[in-house]
Amino acid sequence: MSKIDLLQGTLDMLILRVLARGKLHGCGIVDRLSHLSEHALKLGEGSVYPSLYRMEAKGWIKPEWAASENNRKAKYYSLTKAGRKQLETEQQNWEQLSAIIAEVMQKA
Amino acid sequence: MDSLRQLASRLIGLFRRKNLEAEMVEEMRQHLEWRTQEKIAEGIAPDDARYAAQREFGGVAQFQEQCRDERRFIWVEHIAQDIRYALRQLRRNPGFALITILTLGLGIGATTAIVSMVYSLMLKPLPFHEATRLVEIYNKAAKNDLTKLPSSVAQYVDYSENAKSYEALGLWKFFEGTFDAGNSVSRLPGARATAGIFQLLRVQPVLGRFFTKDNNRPGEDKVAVLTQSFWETQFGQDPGVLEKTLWIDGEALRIVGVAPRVLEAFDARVKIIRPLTWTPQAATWRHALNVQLFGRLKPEVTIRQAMAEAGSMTRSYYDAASPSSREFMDRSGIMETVGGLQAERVESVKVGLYLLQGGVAFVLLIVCVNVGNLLLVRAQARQSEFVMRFALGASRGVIARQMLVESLVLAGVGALLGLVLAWGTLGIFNRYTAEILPQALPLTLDLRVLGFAIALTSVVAVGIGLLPVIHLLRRHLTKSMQRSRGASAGRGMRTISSILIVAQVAVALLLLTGAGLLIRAFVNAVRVEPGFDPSNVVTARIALPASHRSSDQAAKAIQERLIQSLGEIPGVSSVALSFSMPFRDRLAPYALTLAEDLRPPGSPQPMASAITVTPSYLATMRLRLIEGRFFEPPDATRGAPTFVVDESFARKFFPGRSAIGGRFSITGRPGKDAEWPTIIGVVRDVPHNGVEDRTGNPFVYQLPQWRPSGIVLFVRTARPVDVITLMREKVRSIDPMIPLFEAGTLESVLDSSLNNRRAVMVLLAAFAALALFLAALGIYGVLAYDVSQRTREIGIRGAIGATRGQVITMILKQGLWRAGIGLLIGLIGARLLCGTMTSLLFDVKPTDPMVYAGVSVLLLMIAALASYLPARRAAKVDPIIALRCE
Repeated sequence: MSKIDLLQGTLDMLILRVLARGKLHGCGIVDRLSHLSEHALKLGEGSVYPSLYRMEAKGWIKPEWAASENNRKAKYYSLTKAGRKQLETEQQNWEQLSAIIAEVMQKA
Repeated sequence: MDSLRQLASRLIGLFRRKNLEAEMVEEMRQHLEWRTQEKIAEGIAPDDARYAAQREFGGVAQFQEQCRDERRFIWVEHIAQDIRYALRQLRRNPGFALITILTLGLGIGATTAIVSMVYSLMLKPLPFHEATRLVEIYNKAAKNDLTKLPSSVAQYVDYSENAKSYEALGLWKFFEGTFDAGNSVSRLPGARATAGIFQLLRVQPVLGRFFTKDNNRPGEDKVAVLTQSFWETQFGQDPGVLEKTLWIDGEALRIVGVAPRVLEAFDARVKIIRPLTWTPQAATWRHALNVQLFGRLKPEVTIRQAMAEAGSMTRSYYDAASPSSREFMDRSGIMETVGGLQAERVESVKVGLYLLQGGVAFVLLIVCVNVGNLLLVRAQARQSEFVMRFALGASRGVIARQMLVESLVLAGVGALLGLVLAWGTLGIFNRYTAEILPQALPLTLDLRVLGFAIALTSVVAVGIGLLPVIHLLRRHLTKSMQRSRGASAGRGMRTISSILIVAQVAVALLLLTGAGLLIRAFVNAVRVEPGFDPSNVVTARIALPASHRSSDQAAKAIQERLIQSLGEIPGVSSVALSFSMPFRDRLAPYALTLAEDLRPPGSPQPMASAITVTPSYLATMRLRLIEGRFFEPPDATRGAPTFVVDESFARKFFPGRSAIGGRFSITGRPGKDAEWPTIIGVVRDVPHNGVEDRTGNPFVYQLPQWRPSGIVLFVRTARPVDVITLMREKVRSIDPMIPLFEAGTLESVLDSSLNNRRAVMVLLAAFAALALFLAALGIYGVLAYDVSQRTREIGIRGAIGATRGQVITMILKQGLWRAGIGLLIGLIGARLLCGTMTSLLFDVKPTDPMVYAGVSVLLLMIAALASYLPARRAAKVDPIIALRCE
């Protein structure tokens, strides 16, 4: 259970981070994630959607239908104020957690 | 904040589901479309491109489902699913659902109605500032068994000057006057009061002002305060109503103010309040008890202290009183006492209310037990279904949740039915209370009580509904699988349902006994001889304007005109007038003075109530003359007054000799010996104060001696149906200013005098019938289930030679031994509890063996019937079929 939670949580954080740069649609988020991770991150493209819907329900991101680069209507997501805050706390948590894990792994 | 928004978003999601669903599908379709286009642009074949895009995306349906889950209340949909499932289950077994819902509805409805009534009348605080400090000061005469007599102006004056317990005191006297609205006359209920009443109730006028102490003097009382509802209905809330004139009983009253609505909680009958006045002389008659005295206690004074003070006030009056007053007080034991306002108001119906509340508590208990039993039997029958579903992968939690929802659906529908029933019942109660407790405001449904009844039954329904599931949770699965077929139900479950049956029977017997005693008491009350023949007599009240009462001659003239003109109506054989309506007006007793008291010394104060009648009363009412003669017209003009007395009077005060020629007075010892009134006749007893009057005070009859406004007409006629209209016409032809009201047959007057008793009896009998029905249902349900589970065993018994009779006896015994134990417990309980209703019983002992035997036989018969139906089914089991089906 905890493994899934961690993964889910991490994906949420990554999406938030990506959206911090500006609004994107689902497809764009996937592109951005694989670009930034230099294609090392392997994930089913569809798995961003449950994450997006969850964060929308929590009020961290808000959707809007807008014209895409090829002039078709697409659903864009952008960060809300609450989302920005959430990103901050998650980033802090992540840094602390990875530091602790690194320390434990070295000393043990 | 965060979770709030989440909740909102999910709620919106719930309602906008279709729209969001379409958006989501479109979003993902677009994603796949773009990817496919990209790959085609890279030179991959369209089909391969689409396939690759889908592979990279992952399972579309799976992600869609996940997205949906993120958006909505999963549990709401699950519950909806469970409710649909529950409804389907209940539809498959409509008999069970119907009985359960009906049982719950009746239980919740009855409880809510009765407890709301008790709350409205007894517990709901009166809407006055610190209402617990409001008290009534009244008199009781212990030696004459008079527990509550009103007060006197003299006592008010004494308390105002000397009592230390009260912040404010006020007098209140109900009256009915003739209201002349210009184009028509009608009867208007009102009160005469002292200004202190407003002060002690702490109310402020909504318009104008209240009258003051100065208005409580003769001649100064031509003012009136309206109640708010009268102001609304009669004057349309016209603010210009002040200084207008109100014509009451031929007097012009100036309207000075409007009282707030809360005042109607003090006395709901009253429409106007006008000042009470008295002569200085009247203020010295300590025991002219004809007004109600109310007070507001000082904050630090308790009712107990006020009672002690009333006792010492009585004593100090006694110490300074004249010898004749002292003698009266010694003999009657009269003394002043104090009681809380609310407690005093409901005193007359208190025992009945408590009884009904107890009864309804038992009904609710039996309802809970019965619903529990029904659910238990049903859940048992479905044990194999649970095991099967469990084996197929349903979690225990899911099964438990479904049982819970099923119970809640039942409880919900039952509660709805209960609400409707309670509401309807309170409407009926209100018709009764308007008669029994006219000064109380109409009853209202108490939502807290309804909530409590629903909560209790739901908890029971749910709790017991879950028992089998808990059982299932504990039990080893394979064992359950093995036992799920054919074998009889668990021992534990059977013990529980046996106990429930015993409890039901015991409670049903308790209620039956109570109802049986009340029914017997009612029959006794109805059987009491009225002492006259009420059939074919029509009665009505009229109110004479002052012009007809200005002198003795005028009063006599109008009386004669009334008798003569009503006698002209075709079919009327005789007409009589009286100043009181038998069985309806409560006549206060007079303290008598006997010329020679033949009773042993130290006997209680002689008392009797006086009925003023015209000579034709004997013939019209068909009183039975036992000795001497009744009045004749010349008696009215002869010098010395005369009395006709009833049998009890003669027996009581002239023991062992004829009462004819006996002398007594109701106005004190006359100046000269020749002025003693004499007895000229003795008639059969008539219980004028209603058959339930147990004071034992006799009645005496006299000719009109004074000139009251209210007169009661009695008309004996062969055609009672259409005589009322003719009476009204005749009275109007004499003087259109005389209103005629409360017209009806004398039989209906007699009948309605038992309304209080009838209401309690009918309700308790209804509860008992309900309890009996539920107990029978319980026995039937459990035995029927038992038989269905034991088909195989019964088949074997049949195969090895048991006769039909033996099988029936076996099942009957099972039902009857449980009923027997319940009966025994119930009898003991009834013996212990029925003593509390002694005051409601009328010539019946709370241990009346007839009632106990009767209800026991009735209960056993019903139990036997309820057991016989399943027994007969058991006897029909064909051994061959029973054995083959296993």
